[in-house]
Amino acid sequence: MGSLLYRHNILDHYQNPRHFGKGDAKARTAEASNPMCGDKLTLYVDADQSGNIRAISFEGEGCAISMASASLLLENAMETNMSFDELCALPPSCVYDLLGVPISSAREDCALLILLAIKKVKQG
Amino acid sequence: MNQMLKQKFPILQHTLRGKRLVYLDSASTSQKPFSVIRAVSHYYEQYNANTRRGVYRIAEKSTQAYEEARARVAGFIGAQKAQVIFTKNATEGLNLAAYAWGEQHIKNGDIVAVTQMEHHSNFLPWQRLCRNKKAELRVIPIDDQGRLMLKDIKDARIKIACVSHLSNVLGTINDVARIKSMLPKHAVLVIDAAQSLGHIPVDVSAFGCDFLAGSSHKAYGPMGSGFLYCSARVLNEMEPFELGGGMIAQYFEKKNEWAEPPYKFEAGTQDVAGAVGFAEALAFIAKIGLSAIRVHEETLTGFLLEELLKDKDITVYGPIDGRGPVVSFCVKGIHGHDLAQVCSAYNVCIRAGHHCAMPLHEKLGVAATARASFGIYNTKEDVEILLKAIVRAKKIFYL
Repeated sequence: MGSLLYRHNILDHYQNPRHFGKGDAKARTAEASNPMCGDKLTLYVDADQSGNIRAISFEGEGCAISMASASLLLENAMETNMSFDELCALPPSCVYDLLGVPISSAREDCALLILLAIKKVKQG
Repeated sequence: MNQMLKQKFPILQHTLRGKRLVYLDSASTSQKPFSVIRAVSHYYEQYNANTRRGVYRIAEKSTQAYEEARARVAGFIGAQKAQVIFTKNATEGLNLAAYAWGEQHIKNGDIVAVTQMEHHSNFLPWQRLCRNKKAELRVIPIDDQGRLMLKDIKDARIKIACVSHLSNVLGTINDVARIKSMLPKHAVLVIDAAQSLGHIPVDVSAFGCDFLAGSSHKAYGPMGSGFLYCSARVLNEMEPFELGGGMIAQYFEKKNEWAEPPYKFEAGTQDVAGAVGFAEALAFIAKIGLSAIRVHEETLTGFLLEELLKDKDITVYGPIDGRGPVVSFCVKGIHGHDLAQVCSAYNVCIRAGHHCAMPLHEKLGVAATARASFGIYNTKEDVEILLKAIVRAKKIFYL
């Protein structure tokens, strides 16, 4: 499982994360962390009044699973022109599908950290 | 010595997908020898009964076994039997010290000193106490080698100092007797011996401490048992923390009379089987001998350190010499959690994260480290398998 989990696209997103970086000053932002393994990320969402996402990005540090999940999810959201509401409604299975590898219970919090950040942005 | 010792641990006889268990997380919890498992099951099979309550035979036997366990713990750390309070673990012991002693003796303007390398269990209870009492929490810093910088511990305002005997991250062994000699005379010294018990000698009279907490489960005993040693001085100054059965001598409507220590600090039914297993674990350690254990663990630690230090992609934390069997490190570009995951594919168990020591990781400037820690059952081959797993992880991550 060690190598299966770290297949090429996960490593690629970990080492070259998409939509990585600080957002614009007007972006809504939230920080999420996974204290057990020390993953931490900040999400920046800039959406207009009807919820269309103008720009989205994240920054932080953490394990390959947490960083790749965030990168994969934000890339997918932008490629499919997802609205902020749609983004907020994404279930955990969506993250698992994007990762495409089985995630053990011990790594669920890593994989879902980006969803926690999205939820926190929504809550303000 | 270790192949023979490995045989004594049932869990180490199992394999997973043909790979044997390489357990390198003893700092988190140790594995248990058959003799300990047998002592616990024997207790439940033969003489399970509440202590100090029944007059029937098995109740007497249970009480006797519980008190013998207390005597065994006391003997192991150079204490008197009545100075050992059974707790569920070291964490509970440290919290007990903070509540039962700290709440009454720490006042506005006092200083509570804790070290930067403390586990949360010897940091957070004191931090809260200071907030409640408007006392100053003074954090004793560490140098780049992971050793304590002690220049600020002579301050006369220090009422209590809380120090780990052996750091669960850095492996640093603190010279607690020296710390005691440097503290103001009246200051109470609290030692967290969770990591040192069963690895290096723990002797409360040599340390001159007032409190010392330990856990059974990190010293080859069952989970759910631990202790707090209290010096005669603090024992008499403490009010009970938990109230309930077994800790009261006489009920009066206006003012109760508590049982004598240690019983007044052991409210309710205790984990007798745990204490019995704990005593068996200490007997197991004593039979091998702490000096033989120390030599063995130092050899393994030295070997791992030497190999890790050869790799320029690896940063090792803590001192090189005079350390316990704990090695924390980071491999460049590989988060500790990912490294631990790759190790898991080899059935190698290492820990990754902040190891419940966030203040220390803040100082180290890393969110997480990987940690390998040894017990008496580990072998050089275990280290070699870990090193292979690290090479594999680098191959995966350094495509």
